[in-house]
Amino acid sequence: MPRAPSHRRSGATALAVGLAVAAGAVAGSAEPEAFFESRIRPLLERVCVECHAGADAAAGLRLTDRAGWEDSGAIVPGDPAASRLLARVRSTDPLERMPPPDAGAPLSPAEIGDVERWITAGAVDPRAAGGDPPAGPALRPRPFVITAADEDWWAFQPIEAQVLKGAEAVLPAEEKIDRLVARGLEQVPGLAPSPPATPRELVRRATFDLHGLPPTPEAVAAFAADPSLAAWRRLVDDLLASRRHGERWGRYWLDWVRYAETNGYERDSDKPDAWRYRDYVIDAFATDLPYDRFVVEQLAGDEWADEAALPADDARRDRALVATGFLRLHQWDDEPASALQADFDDADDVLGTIGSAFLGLTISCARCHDHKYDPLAQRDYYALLASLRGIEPYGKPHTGGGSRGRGRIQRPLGAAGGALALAVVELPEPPETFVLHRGDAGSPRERVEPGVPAILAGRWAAPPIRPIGTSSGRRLALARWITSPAHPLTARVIANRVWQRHFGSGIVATPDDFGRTGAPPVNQPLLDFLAGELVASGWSLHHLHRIIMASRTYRMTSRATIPAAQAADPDGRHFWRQSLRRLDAEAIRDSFLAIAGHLGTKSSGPGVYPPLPDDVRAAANQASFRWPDSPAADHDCRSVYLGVRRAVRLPLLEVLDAPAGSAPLAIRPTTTTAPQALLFLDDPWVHAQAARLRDRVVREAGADEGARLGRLWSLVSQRSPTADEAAAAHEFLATRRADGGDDAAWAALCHALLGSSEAIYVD
Amino acid sequence: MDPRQHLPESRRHFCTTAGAGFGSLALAALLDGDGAAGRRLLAAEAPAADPLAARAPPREPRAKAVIFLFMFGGPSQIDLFDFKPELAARDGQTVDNEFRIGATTKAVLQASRRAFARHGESGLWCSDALPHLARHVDKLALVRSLYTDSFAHGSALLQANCGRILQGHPSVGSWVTYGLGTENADLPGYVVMLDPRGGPTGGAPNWAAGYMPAAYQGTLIRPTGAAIDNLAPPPGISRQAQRDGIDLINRLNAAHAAGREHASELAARIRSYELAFAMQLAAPEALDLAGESAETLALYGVDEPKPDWHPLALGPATFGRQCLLARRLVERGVRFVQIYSGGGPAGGQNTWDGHHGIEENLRLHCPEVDRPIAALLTDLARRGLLDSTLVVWGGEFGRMPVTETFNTGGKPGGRDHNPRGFTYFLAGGGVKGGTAYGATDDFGERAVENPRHLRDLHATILHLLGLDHRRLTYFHGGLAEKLTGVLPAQPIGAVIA
Repeated sequence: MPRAPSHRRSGATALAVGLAVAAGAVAGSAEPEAFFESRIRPLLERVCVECHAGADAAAGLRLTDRAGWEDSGAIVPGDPAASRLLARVRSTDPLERMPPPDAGAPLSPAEIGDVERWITAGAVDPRAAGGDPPAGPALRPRPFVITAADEDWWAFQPIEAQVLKGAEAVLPAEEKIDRLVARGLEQVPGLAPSPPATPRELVRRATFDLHGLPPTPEAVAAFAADPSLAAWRRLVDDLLASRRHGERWGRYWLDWVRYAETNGYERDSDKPDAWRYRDYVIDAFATDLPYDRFVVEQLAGDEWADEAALPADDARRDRALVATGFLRLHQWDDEPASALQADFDDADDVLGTIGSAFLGLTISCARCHDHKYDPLAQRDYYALLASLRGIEPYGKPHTGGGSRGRGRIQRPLGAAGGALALAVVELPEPPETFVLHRGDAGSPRERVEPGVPAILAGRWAAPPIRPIGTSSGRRLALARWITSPAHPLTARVIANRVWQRHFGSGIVATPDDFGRTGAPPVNQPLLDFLAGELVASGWSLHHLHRIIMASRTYRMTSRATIPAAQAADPDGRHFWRQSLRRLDAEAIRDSFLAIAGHLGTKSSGPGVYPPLPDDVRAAANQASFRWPDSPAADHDCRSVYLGVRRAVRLPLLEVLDAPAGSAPLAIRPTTTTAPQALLFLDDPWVHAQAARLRDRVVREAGADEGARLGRLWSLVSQRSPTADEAAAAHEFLATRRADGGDDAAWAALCHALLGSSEAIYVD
Repeated sequence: MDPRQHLPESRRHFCTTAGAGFGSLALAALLDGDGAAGRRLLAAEAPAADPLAARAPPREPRAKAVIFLFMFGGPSQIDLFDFKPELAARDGQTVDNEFRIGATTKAVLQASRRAFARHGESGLWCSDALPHLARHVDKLALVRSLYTDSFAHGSALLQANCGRILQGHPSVGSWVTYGLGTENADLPGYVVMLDPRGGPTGGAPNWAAGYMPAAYQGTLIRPTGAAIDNLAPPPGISRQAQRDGIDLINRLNAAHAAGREHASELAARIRSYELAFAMQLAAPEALDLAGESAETLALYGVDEPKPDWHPLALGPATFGRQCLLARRLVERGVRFVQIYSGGGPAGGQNTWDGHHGIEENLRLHCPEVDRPIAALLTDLARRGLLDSTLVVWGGEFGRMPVTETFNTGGKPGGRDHNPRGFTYFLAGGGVKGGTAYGATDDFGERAVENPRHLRDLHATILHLLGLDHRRLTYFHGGLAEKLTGVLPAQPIGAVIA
C-alpha cells in the first residue's frame, strides 16, 4: 500500500455503512463454500492478490489463504462492521480505497455486497496456506545438513543409460535419440517432430556446426545428388576428421574455461606461452582425445605423466604438461592488497572453473559460507581446494605495495627441445588447508583434508591419494574421481554442452549449473542416454557428434512449420524443431575470409594481432595496453589463433558478442544491434573482404554477369540466386556502375551479400 | 496482465500474433519506416508497428525519459545520505553482525568520517562527500530503506538492472523502450555509457533485452575516442552508394526472413540497418559537444584535468561529459540512458566497492560524479527538461556500518556489501523533491522503517513513466513476464509528487 492509512476517520464511516448494508445481506447463502468459490475467490484473485500475496504481501495481509488474513482484523468472520477490508473497498478517499486508484477501478456495489454477505456468513475460506508457488529455489536449512531432497536431486542420481527397454533397446543409437525426443514431445500438448531440412541446409548446418565455416558449393552439390543416410554419415566423418573441427570446438572449450593470454587487472600482463594450451585444446578436439583423458591432463597432466613413467622426451608428457596450463588461466593481480588473500582468489578462480566447466556446479558459492541452495558446505569447498594447493602459486610471496613477480609458472618441454609451456609446478609439500572463516585467508578455522563434496562422496568416493614421485598425487586423485565412469555429473555436463551446440539450447538450459539455481533437464532420459553413450564409447566426443547428427532430430528443419508446436514452445526448447542460429563472432570472421578465398593456414603458434583501429588504441587503458602488431601475412588466420587479451579486444569480435575471457561462459549471448549493422556497413576490414570476394568471383566466373552472380551466390549461400535476387542484383549493378564504375559496383554487391542475413545465419 | 492494454492497435496485433514479439506485419512495418527500400518493397502493406515507435502509456506520464546513474560496486549510504548519529556515538564498539545470511560474526562499528549537515528548505541530510549535489537536495526524493536479495555484485547488478538475480531477463531500459518506444528513430532508444575503467560485473546482460526482441537492448557508447565505431563508410563510398547497398540488403533479408517469422532477430536485424544508416548522421551531431557553451562545459566539469593524487582518479571530466551527453540524448528523444560510474573488476577501488578503505573510495568517486550530477540537475531544470526526465541514482547495494578487514589485509577502514538497507534517490518528472522516505536501523544497516525491495523502485520508475508494472507484461515461456517478477511490488507512493 503506497499510502498512509487514516484509520480513525474511515473506520467511523465504514461502521455506519457496514451496518446499513448488513441488515439486508444475510439471506440465502446456503452453501457458503460454493458462494466463496463462485463469487469471492475470483474477486480476490482478480483484484487483490496481485499485491496481497506471498511472504512480501502488502501490509502483511495475505489474501491467498485463510491463515493469511485470519488474525489481521481486515476480515472478521460474522462481523462485517469490524472488518476493515470492507471499509477500505468502500472508501471514496483515494488515499484509502482498495484497490488503490492507480491499481484498478473500485469494486462495484454488487461486488461489495458479495464481500459483505461472505463475511456475514462467517467468511468461509477453504484455502490452505502454501498455495503460492515459490519465487525461486528455497534457501537451505541452517546449520548445514544434507537433506533427503538433496540426496534425491536429479543431477546426483546415477546415470540411467539403459532407458529404452525391449525392442527399443536394440535400436541404433541415433534412433534411440529420436525415440527419447519423441517421448519428451508427448509430454507437451501440441508438440510434434518437424519435417527434415533440405540437403543444402543440412550441409550448411553440419559444416558450420563442426567447422565454423561455410561448406563449399561442391560439397553441397554432392550431397544434394545423394542425400542418403550413408552419404550423410560420410560427410560427418569427413568433417570430424579435419583440424577445422578442433578449431571450432576448441574455441567453445576456451569459452567454458575463460581462456585468455593475459592476466587481466590493471596491467594485463602476458601469460607466457599460454597459446600452447590453446593448441592443445584444438588438438584434443580434432583428434578425439578421450574426454576423460582430456580432463585428467588438464587437472593433473604432470602427475599423470609421472605415474605413467613417461620419459622426459616423450611427446605425450609434453602434451600433458601443456594441458596443466588450464590451472594457470585465471586472472591474476600483480599488485594485490594482500598477496595471501590473492593466492586464494586465484585458487578460487580455478576451482570455480573446474566446478562450472567439468561438474556443472557453482562451487565458488561455498567459499565464504555454505552454499545457499545446493548441498555444498563451506567445508566441501575447502576440501576440494586442498587438492589444488600443492601447486606453486602464480605470484611470488609479497608484502607491501608495488607489483610482484611471477612464481614458477612455466616448465620446459622435453620433446619440444626445451621450449617453455605455461604449466604447474608442484610444491615439495602442500600446505595445510583450513576452512577460512568468511573466506578470509587470515581467519583459518577447522583443518580439512583433500576430498570431494559429501553429497557425492557417499556414492562416488574419490580414489585414495597416492604420492607420485615428488608430487602429492592430490590432483590426479581428484581428476580420476571427476572422470570416474559412474560420476553423475561429468558425462552429463559435457554431453549437454555438445547437444547445446548442436541445437542452440541444452537439454539442461544452464550448462554450467546443474544445481537448484539452474534449470531442470527438459528431457532427462535423453540426457542420460547421451551421457551413457559417451562413457560407453570410451569418452569419444566424435561418437557423440556422430549419433546426434545421424538422428532425425538433428536433421529436422529449423522453420516453425507446426503452429501448435510453435505456440506451445516458441523457443524450441523441447527440440520439436531445429533452431535458426546466428554464427558467433569467430565464425563470421572466418566465414568472410573463407568466402573471399583468403582464409589463412596457420594452425598453431603464438597469437596473432591484426590491425587495431586507432580509436580503440586511443581509448584503451594505457596502463595495460599492449597490442604487438603481427606481420600482414598472419592477419587472415582463423579467429581462434588471434591473441586473446583481457583488457582489449578486437572490436570486430567484441561487437559480435565474443567473450571477455574474465569468467567461464556457458552460453554466448547473441545480440542484434545497430553497432553490428555499422560494422557490416562501414568497417574497413569488411569492405576489404568484399573486394577480395569480387576479385575471386571475377577470376573464377569470367566476364559474364549471370555467371558471376551464380558464383557469388554459390560461395555465400551455396545456391543459385532466385529470379528476384538476380533481378535485384542486376538493377543494383546497373545503378552503381553508372555512379562509380564496374569494379566498385561488384565490390558493393559482394559487400551487400556479406551483410545479408543468410551469410551469418544457419538454419 | 496483457501487453495489449499498453499498446495501440497495430502493436497489439504483433504482440499477440507472434510469440516472440515480431510478426510479418511488424517486419513489413520495419521496412516501411523511413527507408525508401521499405516503401518500394512492401508498399502494399499498411504501415504498422515499429517496435521502437513512440507510444503513449496507458496513464498520463510524469516523465518521458530516464537517466539512470549507476554507481557500480555499491555506494555507501552511511557516508552519503543516511546520517546515523548513533553509529557515530558507538564508533569502535564490537557488535554481532550478520554479514551473510545465517553467518553472524563479531564486527566493529565504523562511523562515517564524513561531516553531515542539513541542506535546502527540506533539510535533508547530505554529507560533505557530495558538496555540489547537497545544494540540490530539494529536488531529490531519497529512498533510504531499499533492500535487495544478493550479496554478490554479479547477481545484485542483474537484480538492480533486470529485476532478477539470474541472467536472461530484460533490463529496465528494455522494459521502458518496450512499453514506450523512443521519440527519435534515428538514435538508439536506449543508450548505455560505461566507465572508462571497464564495464560492470557480468557486462552486457545488464543492458540486454533478455527474452525480448533484440531491438530493446541497450546500445553502448564508448567513453573516450570514437563513441561508436564505424560511424562513417570508408573513403570513396558515398552515402547514396551506401543507401543503395542497404536497400539491396533489405530486399535480400526480407526474402530470407519470409518463412522464418518466428525468429525475431531477423526483423531486428533489418531494423538495425536502418537505424545504423540514420545514426551515421544523427549520432555525431548528438554526441558533439562543440555547440555547448563554455559555461555549460564548465558546469559539468568536462575540462577538469585528471587528478594526479591517485592512479585511478578520473575527476569529474568523464562522468561530466557523459551526463552532458545524457542531457543531449534525452533532449533528442532518447528514452533511457544509463551511465555507469565505476568499472572493471569488482573488489578494487576502480568501482564504488569500498572494501579496501571507504575514505579513499569516496575521495576517488564522489568528486567524479558530484559536480556532474549537480550540473545535470541544474541544466535539465533550466532547459525545462527536468519535469519530463526522471533521474535515478543508486547502485547494486549499499555498504555495511561495520569495518571490514576481509580485503584490507587487517587494516580497518573498508566496508563490505550490504543488500539489506541502502539508499537511492530520484529526481525530476513526477518526483516529490525534498523527500526522505524510509529509514534504516540506528547503524544504517538494515531497512526497518518502510523497507522496500528494489522491485518497488522498478515499479516506481514504470509508474512515473505512465506504465503499470503489473500490466506491462511480455509473454514468454508460458508466462506473462514482468519486470518486477511474480512477487508483489508497489510503486513507492511517498516519493511521487
